[in-house]
Amino acid sequence: MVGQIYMKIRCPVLSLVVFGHMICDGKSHVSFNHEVLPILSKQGCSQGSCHGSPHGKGHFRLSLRAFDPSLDSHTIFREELGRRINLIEPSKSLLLLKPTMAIAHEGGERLKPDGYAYNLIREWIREGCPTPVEDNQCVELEITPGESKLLKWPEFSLQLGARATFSDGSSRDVTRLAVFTTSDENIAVVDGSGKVTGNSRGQVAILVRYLEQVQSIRITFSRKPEGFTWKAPPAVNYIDDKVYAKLRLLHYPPSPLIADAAFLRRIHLDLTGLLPQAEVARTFLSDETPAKRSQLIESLLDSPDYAKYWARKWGDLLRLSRKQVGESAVYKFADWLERSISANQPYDDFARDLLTAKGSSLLNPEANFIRTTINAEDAMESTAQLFLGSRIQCAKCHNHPFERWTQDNYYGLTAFFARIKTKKLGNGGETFIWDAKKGEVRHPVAGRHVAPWVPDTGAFVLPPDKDRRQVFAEWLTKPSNPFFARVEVNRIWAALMGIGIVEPVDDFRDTNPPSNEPLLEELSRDFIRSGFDRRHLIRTIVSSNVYQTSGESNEFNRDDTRFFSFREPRRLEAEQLVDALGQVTGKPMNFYGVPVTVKAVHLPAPDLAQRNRSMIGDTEFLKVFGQPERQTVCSCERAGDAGLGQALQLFNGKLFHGMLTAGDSLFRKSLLAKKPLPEIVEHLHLSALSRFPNEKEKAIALAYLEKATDKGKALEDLCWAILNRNEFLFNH
Amino acid sequence: MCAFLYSKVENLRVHFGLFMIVILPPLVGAQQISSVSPRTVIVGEPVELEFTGKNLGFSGDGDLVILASFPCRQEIISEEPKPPADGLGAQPRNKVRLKVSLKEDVQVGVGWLRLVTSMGITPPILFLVDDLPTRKVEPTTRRHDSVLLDPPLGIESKTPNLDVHYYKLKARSGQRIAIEVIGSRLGEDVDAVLKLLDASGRILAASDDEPGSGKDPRLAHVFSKDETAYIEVREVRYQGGKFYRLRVGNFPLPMAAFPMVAQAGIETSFVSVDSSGETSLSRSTRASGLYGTPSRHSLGFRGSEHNASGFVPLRLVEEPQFIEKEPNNQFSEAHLIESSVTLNGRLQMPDDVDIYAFDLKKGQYLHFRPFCRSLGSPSFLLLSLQDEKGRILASAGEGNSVEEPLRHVAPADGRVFLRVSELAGRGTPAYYYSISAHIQATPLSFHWDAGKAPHLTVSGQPGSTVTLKLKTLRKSFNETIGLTPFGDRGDYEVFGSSDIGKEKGNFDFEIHVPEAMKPGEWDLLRLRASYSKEGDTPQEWTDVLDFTSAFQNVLPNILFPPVELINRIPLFVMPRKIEVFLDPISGKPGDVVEIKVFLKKKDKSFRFLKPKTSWHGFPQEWKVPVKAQDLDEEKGFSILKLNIPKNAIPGGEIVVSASVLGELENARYMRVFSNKVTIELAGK
Repeated sequence: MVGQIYMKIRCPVLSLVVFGHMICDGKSHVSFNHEVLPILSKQGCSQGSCHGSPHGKGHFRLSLRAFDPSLDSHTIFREELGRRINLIEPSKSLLLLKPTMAIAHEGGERLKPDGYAYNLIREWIREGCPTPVEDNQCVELEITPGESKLLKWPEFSLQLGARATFSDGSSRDVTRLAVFTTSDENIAVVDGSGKVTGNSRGQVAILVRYLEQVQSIRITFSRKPEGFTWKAPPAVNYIDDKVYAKLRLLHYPPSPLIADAAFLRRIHLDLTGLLPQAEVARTFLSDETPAKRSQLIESLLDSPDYAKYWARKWGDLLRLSRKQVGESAVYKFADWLERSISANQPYDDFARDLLTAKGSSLLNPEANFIRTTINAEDAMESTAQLFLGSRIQCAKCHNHPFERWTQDNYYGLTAFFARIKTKKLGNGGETFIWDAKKGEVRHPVAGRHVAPWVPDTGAFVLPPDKDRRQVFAEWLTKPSNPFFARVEVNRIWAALMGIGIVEPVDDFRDTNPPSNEPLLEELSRDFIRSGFDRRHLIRTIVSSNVYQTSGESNEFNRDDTRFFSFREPRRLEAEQLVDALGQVTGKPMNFYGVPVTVKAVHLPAPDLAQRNRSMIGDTEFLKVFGQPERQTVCSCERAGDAGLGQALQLFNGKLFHGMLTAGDSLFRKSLLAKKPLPEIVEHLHLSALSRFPNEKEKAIALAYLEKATDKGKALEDLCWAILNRNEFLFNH
Repeated sequence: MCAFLYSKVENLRVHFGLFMIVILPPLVGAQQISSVSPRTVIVGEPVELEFTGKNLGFSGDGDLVILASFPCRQEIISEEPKPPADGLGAQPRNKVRLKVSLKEDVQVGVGWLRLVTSMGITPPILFLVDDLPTRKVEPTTRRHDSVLLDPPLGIESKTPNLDVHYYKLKARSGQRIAIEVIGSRLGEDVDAVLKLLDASGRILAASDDEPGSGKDPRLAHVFSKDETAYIEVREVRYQGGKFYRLRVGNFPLPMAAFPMVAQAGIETSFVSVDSSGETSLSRSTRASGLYGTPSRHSLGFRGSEHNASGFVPLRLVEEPQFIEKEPNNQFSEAHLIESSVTLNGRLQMPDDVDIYAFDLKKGQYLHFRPFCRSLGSPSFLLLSLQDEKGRILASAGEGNSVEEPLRHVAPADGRVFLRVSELAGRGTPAYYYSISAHIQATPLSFHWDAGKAPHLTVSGQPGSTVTLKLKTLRKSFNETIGLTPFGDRGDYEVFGSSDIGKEKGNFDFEIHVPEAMKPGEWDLLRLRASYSKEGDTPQEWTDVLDFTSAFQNVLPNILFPPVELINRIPLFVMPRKIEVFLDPISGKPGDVVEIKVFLKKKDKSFRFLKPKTSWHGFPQEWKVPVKAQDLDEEKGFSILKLNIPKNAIPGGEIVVSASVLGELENARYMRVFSNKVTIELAGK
């Protein structure tokens, strides 16, 4: 008889596992594949920063997260003349002495002598380190509790359990063998036994991994602060309903709605990338039409500036740069994007155009997306990140550690792009892109050809000459695709709200759940229903109270970073800032390769000019403020953080200084035209802050100006002060 | 200066399987047209064209002819500098204004034009024949300042640097407006972008590169309401100074004609094909090339609702047409092609294929040359030649060229199949193609490196030679062939051997400019190759001269030059500036006689250094030295001593000549022939 005694006794405060074994017929009772390797993985031995790195550590190399059992068995048992194992005295095995720190171990203590993991490994050694070929594969992992949980203070802890089902139909509790990780340690932590403990209000996902199986559970922690009362404006649309429901659950009251001036500035920046002109601001603020906000939304969505600005956003994602696509194509592709946005091309159509584009890169500018990719893998990775919101790169070399993507999946997706061919036509950088009728992807480990594969549907059996990119695009853009609409909805939401419902916006995974699943779901449904109409989606979002909520937090929602109880201010993008400075000073920055009237937010690419030392002062400003070089499809390439370099630029940088001190700046011209100082001050405020100065601001400014002998210099100072205010530097 | 001059050191390009001909420019002042305005002639309406340049003939000599792809009459209106009142001391023209008239039946479209003057032939420039009048309109760079247009009209301008041009339109609801830019099709380095904007600047329609017009954008828009609209034109990279012609009116925008190729002299029906594959307009015409075939023409289309024409390129060939019929997707359905034809077909749906069969004899040379993009079609063809078992014998299309030809020599008797597909697997009713399929095709062609002949012309004085430097690289045809230059006036003599031996890689090929040609005359020089060997079928191939690459070196922006310009070299006859004379002699068999060779310069500025004399025409047994001898410049002549063989038959005569080859100051050579002299053999 071969048996294993595995008994779990549970009580609210104690979880005890009694482990034992008996050998009746000389066969193994500790499974190398199902127990030893998972436990090594759980202890962190086989993680990438330790022995799981490509070169291992201390001459001891394990496969990453026990991905390759045969390699690991060889390494542990046979490599280095078997010195890691002592069959006679198992406790003296290097495999146990090092992690218990009986012998110096750079990785520190990983095993407690006589602990569960230690005993398990020692037992396996005692049995002679059996590593039989394991046909019995883990096919399913089940977590208890099975559904998302809401924990209300003070009940902020929860014990998780994990149960594995194997291909022979058997199942067992693997809680002690599984790895538990939390998505946000500020909200909750989880220990090795699967016990989750909440730290504060919010939501986390707990990832549970056993062998190649990954599952996650979402847990929401709710705590009502003292003195909290729910108060929110009436909902305008379903967005408000969904957001307010979540906020109410978490006891985050929304901040009040913004005034007209703040709305005007925000909507202009978000839809066109530009500040409203002073006269536009003056007119809007004096307009008493009740529907003036929705009218403004419509007119901005209809404006050429909207198309240019949102085309530039896509340019960021599609690696649109001179370096990537060549001198002519950079303009052509930018024009194509602008035309697509201007015509409100449905998003599914837009994606299909990009993914299936063939032919000349000049005649079909959308083909430049494929042209920017280096090979099939890169094309697939870029596509997955852009349209599936998945950073699948890790699965190229091993199964994804935090997600369900496997290496098979990676190459299955790559197979859709395996037949792309290009040829240069030698005419102004023209490239012809097509798909060959043959070409397969080979699995790097198994060495076999991998069939095209997509999530949910699985592997495709396609006729040999079927256009694979077409098949992929059809699957991708189907309304039933669980990823496609959600990713774009989230991207647009993030562009307007400053943070995605899933954040980062292109990192959708179980361990990174949306902060408001019903909201994301409803937005996606609405987007699909509208025929993937991006303008409709934007209109819906910016019309909501959630969008028009103030950027200032209150005492109850101050620590909300994910649930949209207030609109977190964000620094102006590099291009927005340059344009805004140019508008206020009347000295817009000129750029190489475009007319002087072209704004920074409409630039086709960041590298139209070759880098030139003499131009560092100008181009560096944009770089310092985070203008991306468009080397990747990751939205993260655009930096939104603040730094010393930015402070220095705004203090007295070459560009800023030049704009302020120019003899023909707007305020100097106003002085020359003998405009009254109050009028100049008012214009400065309207232009920079989209509002009139308040009495105090006006008084301080006028007092300073009237006292000054050189009014021009004084206006420079005033302008400098206004342009260094957070109110100017941020989109709030 | 009156002859062809060649550099001592040639930096020859190597073309695999091809001959290379290098022709060096004459030392005459360069003929140059720097600008022409307007760049358009109007059908049925006299137009004044102003040519600016250098050495456009001499003022007042009146000797100026337009050599063009379209028949026209010209008349000099004015010229600069002004002609001398007394007719003496005329200066080279740098500006000439011509009144040019075209007949009503001239095809609208892109043609070419050269000026033939008393000083030579200018390089070609592409020219537009239009049926829209040219109007002077000043474009603006600010939309709101733009000038209101009154279509139909054409406007010629140059793109602004780092800016855009605007024009204003007032349109009625339901009105259709067609707008197109013509620039790159005229060989200009301009890649224009066209937008039609509404009053608020929103894009109503836009166009960049188009299949039928390459880099030239064009669009048509039907207005849904009465409104003011703006036309925006810019160079894609905002580069300034690039010529463009803007056409605004209500004209069709055909992408291509079908068939895309016509057989010369045969009445052919065409339909216009738009980018969706619609074939809305039709017409028939009998096209015959002004300059023979193959040549490139334009075909205009205009419906009754239009106020101007749209046009597409058309290729004129000598071989008959074959129009593909579906189904022909499998070997069993293949069209059997029995002689050289032009295949015309279309790939109507994605992954469509067309299959043609050929029965070949061993050694037969097959040549397929696709025409798609050059004639407006969006297709990029993948040609694959397969045997009956489906094995690929040769393929073309995946290389880095736009219209890659396929060549094949049959290794054995048998049937082969040409499989035509679209490289990217695309296909709609708009994916037309044309393939010149030549069975027993010429295995040779000659490429001319025009880096050394920037005017794409050759010129020489009567009695001189035009020397071509050939480089021979062989691929599949290793026999000796004969080359014959010919033109409208017949075959030209060649100095030295005209045979190209299979072992030869490089050699000079000297064409004799006949004495009978008068200065100012010109001809279009072509090249014929012939092969004749005992036991083999004699073969002859005309128009083996191809200098597309040469043409593109000179006019790099013309991707698809007019075919007639790339296999015909204009030969211009220059005035004599140097002559060689022989002092005629007579003698008896057994005499030792002396022949004087004089070099006579008509222009003292002309310096002929280190001249050497050589002889032609003497019977071999006379043992006249063929090696070149120095010509004594001080004496002004050289002497050839010769012994008339004793066994020469008295009473007879022989005709001999001399040639003088000399080095010019700039280290180039010129050969001038003497007048032929008859040596009488005295006695009985």
